[in-house]
Amino acid sequence: MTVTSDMTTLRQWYPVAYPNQIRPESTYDTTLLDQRIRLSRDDHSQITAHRLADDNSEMATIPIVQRFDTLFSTLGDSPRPLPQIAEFSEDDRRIIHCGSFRVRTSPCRIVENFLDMAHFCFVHTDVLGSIDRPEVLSYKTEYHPETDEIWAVDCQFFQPTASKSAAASGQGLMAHYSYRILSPFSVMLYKSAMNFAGRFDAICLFIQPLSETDCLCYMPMAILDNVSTKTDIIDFQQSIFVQDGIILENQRPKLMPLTPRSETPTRADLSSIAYRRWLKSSGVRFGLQSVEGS
Amino acid sequence: MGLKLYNYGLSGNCYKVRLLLGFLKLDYEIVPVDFYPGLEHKQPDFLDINPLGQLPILEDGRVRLRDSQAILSYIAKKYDPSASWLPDRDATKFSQIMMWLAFAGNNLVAAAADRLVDSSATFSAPEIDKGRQALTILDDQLAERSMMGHSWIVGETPTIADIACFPDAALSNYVGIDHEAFPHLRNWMRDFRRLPNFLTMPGIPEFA
Amino acid sequence: MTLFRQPQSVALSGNIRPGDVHPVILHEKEFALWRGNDGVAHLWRDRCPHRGMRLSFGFIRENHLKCLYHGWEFRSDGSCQKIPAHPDLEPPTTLCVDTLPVIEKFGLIFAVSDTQKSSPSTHQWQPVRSLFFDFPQEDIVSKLNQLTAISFEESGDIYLSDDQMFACGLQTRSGRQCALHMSTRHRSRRIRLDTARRMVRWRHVITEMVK
Repeated sequence: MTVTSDMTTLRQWYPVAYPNQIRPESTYDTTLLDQRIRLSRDDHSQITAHRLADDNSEMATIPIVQRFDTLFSTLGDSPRPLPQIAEFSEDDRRIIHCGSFRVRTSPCRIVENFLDMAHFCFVHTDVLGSIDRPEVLSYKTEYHPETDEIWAVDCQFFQPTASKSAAASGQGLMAHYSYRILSPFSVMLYKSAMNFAGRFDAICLFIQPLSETDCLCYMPMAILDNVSTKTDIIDFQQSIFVQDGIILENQRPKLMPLTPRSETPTRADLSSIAYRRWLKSSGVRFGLQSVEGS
Repeated sequence: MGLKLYNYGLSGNCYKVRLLLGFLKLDYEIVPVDFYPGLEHKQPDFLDINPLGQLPILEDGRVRLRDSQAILSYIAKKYDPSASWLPDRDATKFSQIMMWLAFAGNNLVAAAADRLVDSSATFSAPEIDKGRQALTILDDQLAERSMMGHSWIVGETPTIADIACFPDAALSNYVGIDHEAFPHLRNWMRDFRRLPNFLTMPGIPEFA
Repeated sequence: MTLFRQPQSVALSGNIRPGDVHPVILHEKEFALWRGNDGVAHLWRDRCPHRGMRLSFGFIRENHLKCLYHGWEFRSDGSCQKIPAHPDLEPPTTLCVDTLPVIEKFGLIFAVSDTQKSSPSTHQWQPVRSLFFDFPQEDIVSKLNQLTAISFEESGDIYLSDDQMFACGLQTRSGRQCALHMSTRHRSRRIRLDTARRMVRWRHVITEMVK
C-alpha cells in the first residue's frame, strides 16, 4: 500500500503507542496511514520514530511527542497542533487509559459512532441508555473558527446506570454531554460527572488509522471518580467500546459515503451531518468513499 | 465462604463461568483482574494463584480451580442438584459432554480466543481457517441434532457442552468470521440466547 | 431491485424459523433473510438506509425488522415505520430498504426476479442439509450425480431426482463460492439423516477433488 496523498490527513498528529508499549532498549513496529513505522527506546529512555522501508530498514526520522499519556507521531509537514484539553492538567482527576482496540473499519465511521447518542439504548442497553427512553432531545452544533473544531453542545440522554455506584441504587438520570471534534480522526466528549456537580469527565478517542479500513483506537480519560477502582473504570469503558465494535465492523460500506442519498440522517444526527460537512470542506478523502465509487 | 471468580469482562473463558453461575442463580464474588492493558494475570501476585497466568480462576472455600471447562464441571456437579447441566449417571451422555468440552478448550479456541482485546494481534489466515473448520464441525453436529428434533449439542436439554462452546462461537463473528455458512450454529446461538437467566457479554449482539 | 437472471435458492425453508434473521450472500452481495412471526419470508439488502448497518444483525418484532444500531423499525414491505430517537416523527415514505421478491417451493427459499404470487405448497418437503463450499458452483453441478449417487435432472431453477423425491437448489455466493441446499419428500427421519450424513462426506470428497 502507498501512503495517502490526502494532505489534510497527512498533516495531523496520530496516536501510535502508549509509552509503556515500548520497553527500554527495544523497538515497537506499527503502521500509520499504510506507512510502516518503528518506535525505539534507547538506554536513556528516549523514544525516536522512523519510517520503515520494505526490507524493514529504518528510513527518515519522524517526530514523536507524548501528550495525554499517549505517544503521537505524524507523516506530514507542519501538522495541525494537538488540541488543548485542560482537564488533563487538573490535579484532582485520574488519568486512565484502557488500552488500544482494533476496529476494522474507516476512522470516519468510528468518529461518527462516538458522536452518536441515538444508539445508546440499543447497543449499550441498560448501561448508557434504556430501551424505554430512546428519545434524542434537540441539541446544537457549533463551529469554533479559532481552533477549527466542531462542537455539539447541550446534549442530554437518559442513562439508567451512570456508574457502578449508580447501578447499585438502580436509578437513572439525564446525563449531559458535549462533544468536541478535535481533528478528522479524533474526538472527545465531556460528560457530567457523578458526585461532582457542574464538572465533567473528559473522555478522548484518538484514532491511529493503520489503513483506510483498519484502525487502532486509544481512549485516554481524565475523570472525576473517587469511588471506582481503576480496573472497574477500564472494564466499563472497554465493554462500551467492544459493544460499539460489533456495529462498526458491520456497517456497509466500510468507507463512509458522503453522497447525500446514500445514507439518510435524522435530527439526532446533527453532529454527524456537521462532521461530514466539515470533512468535506477540509478536503479529507481518507476513509471516505470516493464519489465515483458510490 | 462463598464462590469467588477471578474475572475479566471481555474474556470468553470467564464468560462461560458467569453464564453457568447465572443459569444456576448462584451468588458469587467477582475479583476483577486488569487483564488488558494491565496484564495483571502475568504479575507475581496472580501467578501465585495460577502459575499458567490464565483466567478464569474459581475459588470455593479451600478449593481453587483453573481452566473454564474444569470449573464448569465442578459447579455443575456441586451446585446443580438436578444434574441437568452435567448428567453424570448416563455414561454416554457424560462422556459426550466431556468430548465437547475438550473441543471447546482446544479446536474452537482458534475461532475467537482473547484476540478480542489483543490490539497488536493480526487475524492470521491459518488461524481463521482453523476457526472456520471448528465451526463447521459444530454446525454439522447441530444439523444432526436438529434433524433428531433436538436443539442442544448433547441430550435433550442444554448442558455445560453448550455453555463451553457458546462464547467462542458467538465471538468469532466479532473477530472476522462471517456466520453466513453456519445456519444451524446460528439457530443454536439464538436458542441459547433465549434461555432463561441468559447473560450477555460485550461482543455478542444484545437482541435475539 | 433485480439482480439475477436465474432464480437462486438461498436457504432451506426449515432452517429459517419465524422471528429470526440470517445473513445470506448472493453474487458477492450481502442480504438479510428473515421470516416474520406470520411465517412470511423476506430477502432484503443487508444495509440499513440510515447508517449502513447490516440488518442481518437486527431483530424481529412481530412482522417487522428492527435495526440493531438505532432500532429503526421496518415494515415487511421495507418501508420505515418508526425511528425511536424521534418518537413523534412520521418517517418519510421514501425511507425504505431495498427488497427482493422471494418464493418458497420444494422446501427451499428462492430469490426471484419478479414477484410470483403462486407459491406451491412446500409442506411435504423436509430439509435435508445445506452445504457451503469455497469453490465455484460449476464444480458442484458437474459432480452432483457422481457424488450423490442420485440421478438429478435440471428442472428450471432446481435439480430433481429421477424419482422426484429429492430436490437440490444451488446458490452462487461468488464466482468462487457456492452453496447447495437439499430437501426431500421422504418422511422417514432415517433416510433424511443418512442422506445428510452422506452429504457431509461429499463435502470432504469434493473438497479433496477440487484441491
